[in-house]
Amino acid sequence: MRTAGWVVSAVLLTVVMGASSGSQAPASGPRIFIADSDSNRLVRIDDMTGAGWTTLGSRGAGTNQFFTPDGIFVDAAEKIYVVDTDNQWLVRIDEHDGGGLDHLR
Amino acid sequence: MTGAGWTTFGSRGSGVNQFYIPTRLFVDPAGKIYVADRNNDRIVRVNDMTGAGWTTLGSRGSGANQFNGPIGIFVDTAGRIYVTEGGNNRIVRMNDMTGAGWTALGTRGSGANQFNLPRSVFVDSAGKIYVTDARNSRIVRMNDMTGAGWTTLGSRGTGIGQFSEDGMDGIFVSRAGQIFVADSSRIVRINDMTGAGWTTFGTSGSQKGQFIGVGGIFVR
Repeated sequence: MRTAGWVVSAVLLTVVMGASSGSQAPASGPRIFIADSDSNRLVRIDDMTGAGWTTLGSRGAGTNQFFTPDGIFVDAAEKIYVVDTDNQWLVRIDEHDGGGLDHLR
Repeated sequence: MTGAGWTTFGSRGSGVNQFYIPTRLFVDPAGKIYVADRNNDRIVRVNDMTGAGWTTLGSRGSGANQFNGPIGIFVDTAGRIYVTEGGNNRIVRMNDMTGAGWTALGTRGSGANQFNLPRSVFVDSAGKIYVTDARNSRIVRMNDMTGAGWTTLGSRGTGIGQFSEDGMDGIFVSRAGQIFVADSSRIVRINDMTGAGWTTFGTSGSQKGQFIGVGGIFVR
């Protein structure tokens, strides 16, 4: 009886933990950063389901604007570097800024 | 998304601190920024976003220390620089910004050691070189700059293992070894060069879950 109860508890625990981890954003896993060039924006998603869809940018040459962004690189400090091709410049933004990409997670 | 810390560097031109249709970049562990400055047929390295240490390599041509439409750029752990050239249909590797150790691979075509619009390059931790060969609608992987171990995946089409006609662009190999490719209005992920685990995300458009002309891709 005691053994059976332990097994049931373990199964329940597994189910609960599974549900819990499934409901959380996979913050520990790699995320995917994309230069959506002809939409003049950056996109970040958590995985290949598109979960955590987050965008930055519209067409232009001001702050938070891009004109055919192409290259993208995220450094160890989580700063995002972009080659904003048709603005003929590089852009760097902070990933962990308290109000940047992570703000909308 | 506020874009906090927004900083720009560069303007249009061919001089110092200028770019003309720049395409890709790479940031090395020291924070130095390498840029493929496509229409200036050169690569540029700066120390940081102030432009300090501005250094260029290249002029238009097909010889050593020359480029024709450099697009992709990657710096390996040894500091060697890899560049894909759309105009010369080759990849080149050099030891540093002097061009020392210049090594080229590729001619135009669809066979082994050939490319038709190579766009992006990625070098994994084992030193294997991955290239998106856009007009051949395939990924190419080789062991080194001799072309040894030449392996391709892809053909033109819309099915599994197929890529768009001319839309393949960024490529990134994750620490787990999965290969991510930007392909026109979607991204593709595969587990290895057999195409196992073929997974796509994205359709054409500007709404959620949609892309138009995906360029670079980075996984972190």
